[in-house]
Amino acid sequence: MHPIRKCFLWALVMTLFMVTSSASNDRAIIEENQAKALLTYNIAKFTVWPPESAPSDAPFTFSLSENEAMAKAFQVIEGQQVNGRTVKVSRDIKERLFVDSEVLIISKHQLQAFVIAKDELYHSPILTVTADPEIFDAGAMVLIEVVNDRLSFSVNLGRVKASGLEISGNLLRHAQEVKF
Amino acid sequence: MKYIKYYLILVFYVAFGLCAFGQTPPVDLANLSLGDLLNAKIIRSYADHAAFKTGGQDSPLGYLDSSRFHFSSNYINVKFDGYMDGTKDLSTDDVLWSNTSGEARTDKNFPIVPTVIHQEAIQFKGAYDLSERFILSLSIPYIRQETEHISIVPNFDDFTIVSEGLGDIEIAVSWIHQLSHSNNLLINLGLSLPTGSIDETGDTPGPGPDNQLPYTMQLGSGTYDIKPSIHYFGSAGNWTYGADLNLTLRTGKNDRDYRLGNVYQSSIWTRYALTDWLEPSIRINGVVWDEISGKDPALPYDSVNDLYPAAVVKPDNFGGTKLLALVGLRLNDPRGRLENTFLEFEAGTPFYQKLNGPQPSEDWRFSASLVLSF
Repeated sequence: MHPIRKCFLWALVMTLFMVTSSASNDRAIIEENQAKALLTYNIAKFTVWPPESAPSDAPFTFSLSENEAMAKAFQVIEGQQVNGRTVKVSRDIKERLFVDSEVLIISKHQLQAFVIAKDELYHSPILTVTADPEIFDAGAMVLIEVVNDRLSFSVNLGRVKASGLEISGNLLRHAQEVKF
Repeated sequence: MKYIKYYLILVFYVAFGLCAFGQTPPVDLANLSLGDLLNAKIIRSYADHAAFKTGGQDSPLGYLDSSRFHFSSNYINVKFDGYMDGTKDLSTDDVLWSNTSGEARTDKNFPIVPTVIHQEAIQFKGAYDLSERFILSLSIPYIRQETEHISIVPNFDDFTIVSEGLGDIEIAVSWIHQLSHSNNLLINLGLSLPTGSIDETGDTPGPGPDNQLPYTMQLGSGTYDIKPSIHYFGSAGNWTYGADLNLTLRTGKNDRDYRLGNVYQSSIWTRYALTDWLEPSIRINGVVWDEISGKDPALPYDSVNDLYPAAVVKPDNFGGTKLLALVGLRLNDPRGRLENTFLEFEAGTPFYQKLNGPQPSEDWRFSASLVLSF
């Protein structure tokens, strides 16, 4: 066989293998920030807030002071429903962490602010979520990470319960780690 | 043009295969189940990804996402037709020494004249992300060259010679630095290995049918070449833009006692996303390359009169400056499912050439690239 034809034949076989192996592994492909927003939203759906924490017709607020890309990613859940309430995404945290929201996303640069506010947060029905292990170790309730191109999350159940929130066991069984 | 047929068959085969994969219905992200979400493949930020899409077929693999393996194939066809000396166009009659009417033999005319040269190359490139910042890559070119000639040599009034085979394999390491959210720098250091033949022979005017072919018909440089490059690229809205500087620095001399000239190449380019799947581009490419140093002793040369039988065997008749304008079209997966996988076409022509001549001048070039990440 002519060398270049042989070369094309091999290239054809190789691409066929690649395409079929890709096709057989039919995983959804999601951008990292958007995936973190979606997982935060899913975790909120598996969490129960005390009935007295907010009126049932009030918006369900996710607060964050992340960068533009992360804020844009959270738009995917804006207008969705959690426990019959409409999701609102707020980016107005400036001076301090403790805000009137159901879910608080704490970014890496807010470690110091979190350490200062955590005592106040522990006694409020606010689900604290972070992507930074250091902030999780400092007392945030949920850690979301990407490990080997998959989402993973850990829960500090002790902190969750202390704030009056309840997380479903169906969610916890998917957790990478549950701290008590 | 012979192998474009095979290349296009391959490209369309793969493109259709990928489209079939891309037919998976889009999902409403907010309604993804927890299980599907935790099973999803997470790619790095789109912002980063867009920035890493560099342009042009000379660029390194132009993307980076959570996929670690990248594969690209690139076909390029360059046609040379006509001659230039400096910036002056010459006809083949100007270059051919006809040995009639008392025409003087000089160092600017030759008894053998290549008229049309086609250079085709198919390059397969694989890359692996060592880390977020470092990429290791390997490029394997397959080259085919065909040159038509006219001459005053009996029985060689017009003849064609062909050479083909493996070119110089290149290994490279790239380092990526994000200057800001939408501005990036990629520094690449490559080493080209002398795997391409410099011993190609053919039936040319001379003793016997297997004469050493001219420099233009050899498949490699015969030397270890250092290939540093630096690429800047950024994005703003639907625009992606960048600038590149690529050098090919030859080391030593090859086994045939010559060294091809260094090549200094630079590009500026921009691409506009008309839709999610269609991105036209323009690129200006400038090339400066040096003449050949040394001389292959197997090539014919009249040392008494310091005359060569053809321009393409005269080391001084290499090198020059060239500016090209190129237009391109990138086709992405319209479903957006195939991250960093695209098909790209680019065609262009020189708008300025200043050649150490007489030297064959470039007429046009065309390239097609297929990039896959997995």
